[in-house]
Amino acid sequence: MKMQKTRILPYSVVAMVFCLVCHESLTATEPADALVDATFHNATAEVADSVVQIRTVGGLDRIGKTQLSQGPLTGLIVSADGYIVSSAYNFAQQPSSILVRLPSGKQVPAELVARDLNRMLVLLKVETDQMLPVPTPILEEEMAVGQWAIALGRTFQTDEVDISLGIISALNRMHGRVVQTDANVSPANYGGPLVDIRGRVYGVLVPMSPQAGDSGPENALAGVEFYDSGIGFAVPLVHIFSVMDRWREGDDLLPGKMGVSFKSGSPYTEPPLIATVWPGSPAAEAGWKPNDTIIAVNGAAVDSQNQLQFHLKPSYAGDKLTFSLRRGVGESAEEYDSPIVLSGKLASYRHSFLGILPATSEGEGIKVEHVWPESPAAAAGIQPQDRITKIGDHATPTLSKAWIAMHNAQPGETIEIDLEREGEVESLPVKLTSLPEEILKESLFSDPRNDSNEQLEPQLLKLPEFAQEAYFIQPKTPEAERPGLVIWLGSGNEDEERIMFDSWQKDCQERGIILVIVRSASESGWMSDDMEYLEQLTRLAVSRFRPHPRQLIIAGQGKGGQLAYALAFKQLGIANGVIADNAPLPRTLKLPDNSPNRQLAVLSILPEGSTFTSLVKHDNEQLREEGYPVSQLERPTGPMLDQTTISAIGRWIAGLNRF
Amino acid sequence: MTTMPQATWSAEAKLTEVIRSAQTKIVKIFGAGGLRQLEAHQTGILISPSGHVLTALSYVLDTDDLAVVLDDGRSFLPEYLGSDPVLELALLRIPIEDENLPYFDLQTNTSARVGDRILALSNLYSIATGDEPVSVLQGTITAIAPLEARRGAFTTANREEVYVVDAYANNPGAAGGALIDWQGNLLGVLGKEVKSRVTGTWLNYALPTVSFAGSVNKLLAGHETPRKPPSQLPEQSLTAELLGMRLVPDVLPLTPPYIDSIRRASPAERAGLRADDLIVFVSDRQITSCRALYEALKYHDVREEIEVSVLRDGELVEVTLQANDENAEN
Repeated sequence: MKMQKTRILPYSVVAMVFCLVCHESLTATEPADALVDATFHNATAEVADSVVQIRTVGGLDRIGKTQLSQGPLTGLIVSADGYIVSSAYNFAQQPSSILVRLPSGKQVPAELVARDLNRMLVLLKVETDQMLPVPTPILEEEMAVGQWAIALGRTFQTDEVDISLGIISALNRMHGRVVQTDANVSPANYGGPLVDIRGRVYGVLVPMSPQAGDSGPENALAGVEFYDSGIGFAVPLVHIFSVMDRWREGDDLLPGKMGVSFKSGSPYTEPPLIATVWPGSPAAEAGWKPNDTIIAVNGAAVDSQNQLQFHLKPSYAGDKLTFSLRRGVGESAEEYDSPIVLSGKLASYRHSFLGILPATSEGEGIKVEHVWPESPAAAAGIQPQDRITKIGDHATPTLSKAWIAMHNAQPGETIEIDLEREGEVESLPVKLTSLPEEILKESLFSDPRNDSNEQLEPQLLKLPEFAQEAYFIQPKTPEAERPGLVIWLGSGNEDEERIMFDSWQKDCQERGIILVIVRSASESGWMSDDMEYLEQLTRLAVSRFRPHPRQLIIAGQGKGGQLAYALAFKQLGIANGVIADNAPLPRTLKLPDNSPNRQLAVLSILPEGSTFTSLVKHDNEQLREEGYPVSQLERPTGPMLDQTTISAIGRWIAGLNRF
Repeated sequence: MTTMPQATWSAEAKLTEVIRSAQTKIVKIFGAGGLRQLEAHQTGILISPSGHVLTALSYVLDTDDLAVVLDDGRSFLPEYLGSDPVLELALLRIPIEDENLPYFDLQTNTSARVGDRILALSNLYSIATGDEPVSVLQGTITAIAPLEARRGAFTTANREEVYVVDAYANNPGAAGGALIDWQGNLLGVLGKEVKSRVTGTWLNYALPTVSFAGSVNKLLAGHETPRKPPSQLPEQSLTAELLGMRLVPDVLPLTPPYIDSIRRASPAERAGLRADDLIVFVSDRQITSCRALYEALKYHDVREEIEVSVLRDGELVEVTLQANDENAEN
C-alpha cells in the first residue's frame, strides 16, 4: 500500500474557511510552514542517495544479554569508488556476509576493510563500475549549537530514508570525538548521516558511552541504552575524510595510548601527575618518570587530567603528540618537551617471581617452606626455613604485604631481599623472573597435608533460587590452613561424577583440596545463561569454605571449560586459576588486560589427538602474550581425566601459592 | 509584506489554535488495570458529532466501570459498539443528546509524507485529569513502513503500513490518541506500545487514517465485520526437500543458509544451484539463517514459482525455482 499526499482541498472550501476565520496571519503562516517542511525535504533529498541499506547474513543473535537487531542496517557512501562507512554497532554480530544495496537498486557483496575502535565505526568496500554519490561535509568551524540537524537511516524501508528532526545540542563531546544531537538516534539510523538544513553532512551516527573501554565486541554496543533519548552522537564526516588514506590500508584504527597512569582524585581538578609508567610503553621509552607532571600538549596548556583527555582521546595509535612535562618541585623543577608516538597496545603486565612457597604464617615475616627449583630464589641461595622480612623497599610482616611488594617489582629487575636465618640477618640480591609455567615435581611434596584413608562422601551444595545443583567432597584440613577450592563445571552425567569424585579422593586428601562438581541447568550442557548461577555459587563456596586466596580454581571440560574461561576472565578476581580440558577460548571473549593485583594462572589440558589441538595451542600463545602464565598438560585420549593428570593438577594447584 | 519575525509569531499563534481545537476532539478513558504496572487509562478520539469514540482495543476496556471524560471534564459511561481485532481498535459511544460535539471526520482523508512535522495528542501517563486538556508532543514522520512489531514474545497481527514518528508518542496511556499535522488534520491514531522487530527498540507510531477509516465507518453504520488475523499459509507448503536441496546442519541460532548438497535431477540442480551457495533472498525477502529459509518457504505454495538469490564466490546469482508435480510424486 502506498499513500498519496492528498492535501488539496476544493478551492471553494478554502475560500469559505478564509471568510469565516478572516485572520490576517493565516495567509502568512501557511506558506511559512510549508516552506520549512520543503527545506527539510530538499536537504534530505540532497543526501538520500548516499545513504545505503546494508544487510548481513549469519553471525550472532545476541551478545551477552543484549538481543541484536536483525533488521537492515544503514551506511554512508564516502568515496565514489565504493568505500562506505557504518557504525561498529551494526557489525557487532560478526556477520559472515555483508550485502549493500547501491543507489541504483543493485545488491552487491561488501567486504569489511577495517574498524575504527576509537570512534566505533567500520569501513566497507564494494566493487562498483559506476561513480557513487559522495555527500558534502560541513567543516567543524561552521558547526554551531542550535542548527537544525536531520538524522537519516535506511532501515524501515528500502526506497525511502527514515527521518528524525532535531538540532545540534553540543560540539566536541566525548573528549572531542563527536557532535551531539537531540534527533532520535537508534539502531534505525546508526551508520546513517546527520544532515544540516542545506543537505551537508555533520557526521555519521553512532552509539557511544563515556564509560566504555576501547575495544571488544561488547563495546560496540555501549551507549545503545541511550537510543531515542534525546542524546545522540555523530562522528564528524570531515574527520572521517581526514583519516581515509590511512584507514583504507586495512588496519584497524586504535585508540592511542602513552602508557602512564595518574594520581587518583577528581580528573577535573587533579593535575596530570604521573603515578606509574608502564614498562616498555612510549612514555617509558621517552624516559618519563613517576611524579613528573604533564603541563602542555602540542603547546596547549593542560591543568587537569580531564583537559589532557581532550588531546589524548581523539588521537589514534601512530599519532605523534609533543608533551611538555615538569619534573621536581619549587626552585629545582625542570621542564622538558617530549614528543611521543602513541601506541595501540601496551606491553602486557607480567607478574614478577621470586621462587618460594611460603609456610602457613606464624609470627613476623614470611617463612619459606619450599624453594622453587631453578628459580631466582634458588639461584640466590634462599633456603627452606629462612624468614623473609623485606622485599626491595617493602617490609613484609605478612603475606599480603609480600604480594604487594612483588606487584611493584618487574621481571628482570634485581632487588634486595632481607631474611633471617638461624638468628642472623642477611641481605641477598635477587634477579626476578616472570611467573613459571612448569608444574612442580612430586618430590617437592614429601609431606602430605592429610594421609587419612577415610572415604569422602559427596554432599549437596544448593542455592535456593536456582535450579542447578552442585556436590562437593571436603577433606579435613588443620585449623590454620586454608584449603584449595576447585569448582568443576561437570558434564551432568551422574556416573561420570561418581568416577570423578573417586579418582580425586587421594589428591583432595593429600593437598587439602575441596572439589565441587556443578551441574548445568539444561540437559544439553553449559550455556552462557548459567553464568549468573556460577557467580553466585562461587561466592557461596568462598564464604562457606574460606579457601586459600591463591588457590581458588574454576575448571571444566569442553563447553564447561569454555564457560570456565568466560567466568574467570569476565569477572577477573573471582578465581586465581582456570583449568580448561579440551577447550579453546570462547569466540566472543575479549581477554582483559592482566592486572597486577589479580593474578590468574591457566592450566590447559589436551587429550591426545584432540581436534582442538591447534586452536588450543594458538589460544595459549595469545594468553601468554597478554601476560597470563599458561601451564600445559597432555593426557591420554578419553572422556575422563586419568589418575596421572589429576595428580599433576593437584601439584599445579599446590604450586599456585608461589611468589 | 509581512516581516519574518511577524510571520513566525503568527505561525506560532496559528499552531496554538490548531492544538487547542484538536484537544477538544480528544477524550480520556479510565477503566480496568492498575495491577502489576498495567496502566488503567488510555486515550480516544471523537469521530462523530453524536459521541462516537474511537480508541485502542485493550484490557482497559474490560470493565463495566468504564469512564470517558470529555475535554470539558464531563464524564460518561460509554456503550461498547464493536471492534477491529486486527487493527486493535474499538468503537464506543457516549450517551449524549441534542449536542454537536467537535470531532475528527474520517471522510476527510489526509495523509503525510516522511519528513513532515506532526503533533501527537494523548493522555500519556494520565497526566491530564478532569477538564485538563491532553498533552501535546511535536515531532517528524520518520518513516512509513509495515508494522513489524512484537509485544512481549508475540508478533502483532497488524502488518499494515504505519507512520513511524520521532516524538516519544507511544507511552503508557497514549494508545488511542491522535496524530495530526500542523493544520490540525487527523493523520492517524496512536497505537499500543510495541517493540520493532527490525531495530529491537520501542517504536513510536500511529495507524494511518486510511488504514482504518473503511472498517470504522462500517462499525459506525452498525456492521461489525469480524476479521481473522491473516494466516495465509497455503494448503501445501513448499519445502527445501521438494526443491531438491539440503542445507548445512542448523546448529546455531543464526546458521548461515549454505546449501550442503543438491539432489540429482531436482529443480534446484536444473536451476543451476550448487553446494556451498549461500542463500540470501527468496522472492525479495532476505534470508539470514537456515531457520529463516524454512520459515519463508512455508508461505509459498508448492506450485508457486519462486526467485532465489545466492551468493557464490562473492557474486550474487539469481535463479527461478519451481517444484514440479513429477518431482512431488517421487
